[in-house]
Amino acid sequence: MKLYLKIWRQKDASSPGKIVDYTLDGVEGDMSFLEMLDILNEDLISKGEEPVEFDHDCREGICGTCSLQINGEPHGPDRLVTTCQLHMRKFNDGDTIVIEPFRAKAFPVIKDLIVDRSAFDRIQQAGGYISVNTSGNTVDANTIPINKYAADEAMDAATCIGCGACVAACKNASAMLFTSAKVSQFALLPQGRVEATERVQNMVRQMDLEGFGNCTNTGACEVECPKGISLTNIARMNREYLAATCKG
Amino acid sequence: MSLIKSSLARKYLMALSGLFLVIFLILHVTINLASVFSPEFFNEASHFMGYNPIVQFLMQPILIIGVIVHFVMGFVLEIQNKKARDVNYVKYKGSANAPWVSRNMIYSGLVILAFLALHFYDFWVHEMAYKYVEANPEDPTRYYHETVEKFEPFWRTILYVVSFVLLSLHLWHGFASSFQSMGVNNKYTAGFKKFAKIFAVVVPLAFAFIAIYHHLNPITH
Repeated sequence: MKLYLKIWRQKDASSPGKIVDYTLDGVEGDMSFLEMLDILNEDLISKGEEPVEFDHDCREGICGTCSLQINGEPHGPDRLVTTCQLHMRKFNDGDTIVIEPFRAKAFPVIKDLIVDRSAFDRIQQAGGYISVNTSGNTVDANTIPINKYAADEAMDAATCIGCGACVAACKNASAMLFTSAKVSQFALLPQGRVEATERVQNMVRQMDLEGFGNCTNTGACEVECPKGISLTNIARMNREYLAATCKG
Repeated sequence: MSLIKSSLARKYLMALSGLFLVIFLILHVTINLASVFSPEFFNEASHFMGYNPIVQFLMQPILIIGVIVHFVMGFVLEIQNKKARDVNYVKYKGSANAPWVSRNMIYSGLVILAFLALHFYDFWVHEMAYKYVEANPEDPTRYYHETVEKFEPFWRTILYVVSFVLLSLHLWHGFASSFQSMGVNNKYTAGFKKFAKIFAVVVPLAFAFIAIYHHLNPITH
């Protein structure tokens, strides 16, 4: 198929960017979106032009590295997939596809379609862990009984790959779904309860410091999340934070 | 103070003030419906609300504070949210993942704010002037006539009805959303969301019905 691509090109973080038009022929429906961009880049390189920079790593939908706002939606029009798992059969011959980086003040553009998502790392570092003694007396996690419901909920929250689609989709560029998933995966388990109070306070504080917007419960994040992280996690974080604040 | 600086605390304030205003709406629509079905009861209830010291000097200030908190917090959140995306998308397909009402609460809220200015001018300012400036004696029978007369002009009836449509849109998202903000999302949430949507239609519809009814049934002198 033949596609008309409108791609955001930006030399570096401090340069202004703009949309550049490309026409790409010979795209197959079985190609992934990133393979389509690979072909475009091969074309550009063969012409001596600068290739389009974009993030990618595992190309299996599990690492959370690929991003891209495709026709106004993070990871494109398909549901529960990352950009690397989006296939070109979702598009038609002659389609125009607008490709932009994820937009948020907390996700500054580094180059072209690559954004700096280290704000998520800093939120994680603020409390997304449990303190375990690993000096030789490590207790096996399975010695602590955990009910099935809590284990399943925690595992569902832990499937968040930190890609940033929630921020990209949210009209307020809010990071509440990401942060709440990271809070929930520990808050639901006995090992995580020990530091639960400080965790939610520290992670929310870091989230605010990074400059993300406020959640207005539109639900866009849940719809666009490639891992189907539920809004119930945000409600849980709200409860955790309220309880932590009351404790002081 | 650290609580107020937090994004979550602002959500709590938004939600709690919103829920408080929902409770006020239930009281308001109940009394107003009496103006259609029982003018005598409407006069009695209005007189009680107008002269009971607890309502006047405790409940009324709390209500005004609730309204101010809700609007001020709404503006603060909107400004912060705009700042959080300093460069806008060339193409942003918000309709693909969120309903229009949830993405445009600020606009439905602004219309309601404009309506409140008119509504305060129509009723509250008039009431304050009647009681405290002109210092008129108590008249427990005046409320029904005053209310019905307000809806004689076609333009005012239309403005009220349009505002109630926007109120409906605002409640459609806001009522259930306030529970999510307070951390309530459980097995009853799906059912409650349905109830909240019915509430969001029925209450503004009742307000609109009252306005239209009085416009169509003026008091003949």
